[in-house]
Amino acid sequence: MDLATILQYLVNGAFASSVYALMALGLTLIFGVMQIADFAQGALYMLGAYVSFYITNRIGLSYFLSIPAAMAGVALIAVLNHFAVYRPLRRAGGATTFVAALGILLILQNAALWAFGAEYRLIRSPFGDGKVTMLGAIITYQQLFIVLVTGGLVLAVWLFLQRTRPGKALRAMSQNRDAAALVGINPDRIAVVTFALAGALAGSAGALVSPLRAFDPHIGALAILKSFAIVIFGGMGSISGALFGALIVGLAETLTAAYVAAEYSDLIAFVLMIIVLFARPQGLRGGAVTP
Amino acid sequence: MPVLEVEHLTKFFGGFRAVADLSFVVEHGEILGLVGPNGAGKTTTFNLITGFIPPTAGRIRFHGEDVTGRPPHEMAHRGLVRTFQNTKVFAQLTVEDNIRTGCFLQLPRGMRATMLGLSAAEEAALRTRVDELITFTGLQSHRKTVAQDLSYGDQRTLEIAIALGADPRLLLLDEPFAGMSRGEADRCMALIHRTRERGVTVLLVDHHMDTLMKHCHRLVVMHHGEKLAEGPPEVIRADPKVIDTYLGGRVDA
Amino acid sequence: MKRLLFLTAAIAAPFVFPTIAQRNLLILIAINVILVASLDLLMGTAGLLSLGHAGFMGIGAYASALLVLHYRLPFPLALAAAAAAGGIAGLFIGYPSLRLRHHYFVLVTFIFGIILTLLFTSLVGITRGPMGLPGIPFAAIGVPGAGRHTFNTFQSKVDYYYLVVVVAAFVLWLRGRLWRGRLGFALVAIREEENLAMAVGIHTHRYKVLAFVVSTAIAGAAGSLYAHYTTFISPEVFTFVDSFNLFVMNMVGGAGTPAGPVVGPLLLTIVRDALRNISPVAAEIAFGVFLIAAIAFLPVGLMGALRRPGVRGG
Repeated sequence: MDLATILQYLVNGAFASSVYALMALGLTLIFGVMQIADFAQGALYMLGAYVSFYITNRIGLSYFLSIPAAMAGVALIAVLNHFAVYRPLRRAGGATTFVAALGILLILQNAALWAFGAEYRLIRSPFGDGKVTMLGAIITYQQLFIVLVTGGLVLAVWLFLQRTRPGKALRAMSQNRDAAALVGINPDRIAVVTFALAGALAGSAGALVSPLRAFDPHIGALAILKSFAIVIFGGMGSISGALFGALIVGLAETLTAAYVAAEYSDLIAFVLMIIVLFARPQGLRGGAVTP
Repeated sequence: MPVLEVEHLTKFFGGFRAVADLSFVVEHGEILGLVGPNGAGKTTTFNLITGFIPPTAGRIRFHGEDVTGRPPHEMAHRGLVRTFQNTKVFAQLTVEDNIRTGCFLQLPRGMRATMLGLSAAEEAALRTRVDELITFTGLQSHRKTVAQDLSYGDQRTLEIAIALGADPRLLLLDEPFAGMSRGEADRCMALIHRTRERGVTVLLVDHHMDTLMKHCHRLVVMHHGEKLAEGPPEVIRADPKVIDTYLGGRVDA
Repeated sequence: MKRLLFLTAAIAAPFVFPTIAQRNLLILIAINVILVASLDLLMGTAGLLSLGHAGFMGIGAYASALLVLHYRLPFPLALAAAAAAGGIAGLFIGYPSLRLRHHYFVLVTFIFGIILTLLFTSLVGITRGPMGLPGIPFAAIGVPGAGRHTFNTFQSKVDYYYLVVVVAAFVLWLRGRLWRGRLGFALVAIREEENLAMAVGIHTHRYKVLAFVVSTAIAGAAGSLYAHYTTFISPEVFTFVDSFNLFVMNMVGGAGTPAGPVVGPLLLTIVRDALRNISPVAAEIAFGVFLIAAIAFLPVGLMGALRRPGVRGG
């Protein structure tokens, strides 16, 4: 096995990780702050892809514009979820919100089926087939773009949490809800911010992935399940855990597909999750929303 | 032979020393009081003795048998049963069903009884036992009341009834008088005395010095996880260390 | 008595609903009753949520189907094997995960269900993956070696319906007995106040595992009944959505109530089917909405709302 192959796997792994990273980040934020396992994020991811598709293929704007549009649109839907379902249910237990989240996923998935139809859609990548070769490994421009944008978004989120007032308030709330309320942080407003943020991330993931392969309304399910497993693996509420987990899973999937069999690569995320649940239930970096 | 022997019991939570080198015995048929201010380590000691948390060091012997580190259900099997500081009853069940559940250890063993239920004879035997306990603890008028609807004092009584269902040889009561009025505490103490007369040894935890002084045969005084003094009430009353901690000197948390 | 009423209704049903489509629905409802009853063993007593039950059904289905297809095992043995397979899988998953806090246990069951679906799909050599297993023989019961005329193949819908009803009745009876036994005592105590349960001598872990294994074994058996009825199984019928449906049926019917596992599947299967005839997609959306509403407004389910408080299950 030569350097080029290793590098190729790393590249593929990193790029797979990017998408998971965005989803896992949103999930872990919501869980850390709101104590909600928001499965509906899967549908938001899927809707991000569709928004991007419609803006690029139907309205005819640039693909690059569709990304922020997807982020904004999906963020809006996420906030709507909060007001329509999660906020009224906030007194109920974790099991209830979990089931409600699954309900939202079903509703949105089927609404998309009804609105967009079940045919597969595809966006042509603005980069065409352009690729770059580094040390024997091939990276397509699209892949590079995804990794760079992901990195940028993650950095932006990190800065937001560390440097801005709402960001700090968010972290405070995830550590101690009551104490945060005592110092005047408005939990409702933070909830909106959190959902909007997570929605934007999920939407961006969908938009970024849409030129890569044909998609239909069902892509959200497996994506959210895996992201969920990653978050548990990394520690619910931990950002570094989510990112680290995404990296590991992306890499592991790529290697499994290469060396074992492609069908088993999907299982990796879940196997890791089960292992961690038995060895260290709080996850690799479990705790409050910590960097 | 003492019913319970605690030898050099120690518990660290991370760097925090909750119980340090605690040693004492509980003699058969007595009422022993474990006293100390809040934070002295009394409930931790309870949790250690009854198997809810494992000790960092030390031994616990029950009727001579080393039971250190055994889980709570095994302790109950051997006859060591406890109540809890924040009242624990089976909230949505009736008083009757609560006590029935307390009698779990008396239920017949075997797959048939586990999966398919009790025979008529077994049911009758269980009912007799439950009836006896209800009468003994004075809860007849609340037989069918749902536990969470009981008054606080009655819930506490129910706790003891449930514990008695497990047929204990040693009963550990964690702050049984907390939140009780004078009258309720007296009635509770009377129940404890009646329990003792049935042959049950009792270990009480509380921080009401005066109540325990009046009713316990012996006391163990704890402070900051260590044993401060041990002995009958007169001796404890006169102990300078105890006086310093409780009745004068600094005020501790 | 209520029980007699239900039984009479169950026996009369195929004659009140004579069309093929209706009888098909009846059979599916009956299979769901078995599944929900098994789930209720966990939810209705100990309050344990298992969100991977369709996976255990799948294990039983594949086990039974494969044993009959490749080894010509008689159906009753295959049914027993399916139950055993379900139970063993339950032991394997339940033993370690029931030590965890409840949230984590729920997650493990959920993810294990996903893993099973993926395994069914990817172990193509055994399960034929997404192509599914066709040609599964109908259930057949007979005296071995005594000649073909003692053999009864459950090919007609009415026959099969009664077969399933017999099993369902047995499962419901078992559940009722379980409530009254040591296991039932233990599980209710665990749900109400686990520490107190331990303090009075209940080995909480052991009883949780026992309940879980019984539950998954029954689910496995239900899988076998399903496989030998539809004669074709594929991974798509054992997904988390199906696990989720079972949970909803249990919840809406009322966990821990005597009639819950019958009311839940009855109501939801009929509603779903009716909606689906209008528009499949609208049906799913409505289902999602219905689900959220149900969990928000009726957390104890229909039968639970009608039950007096303080009455233990049974």
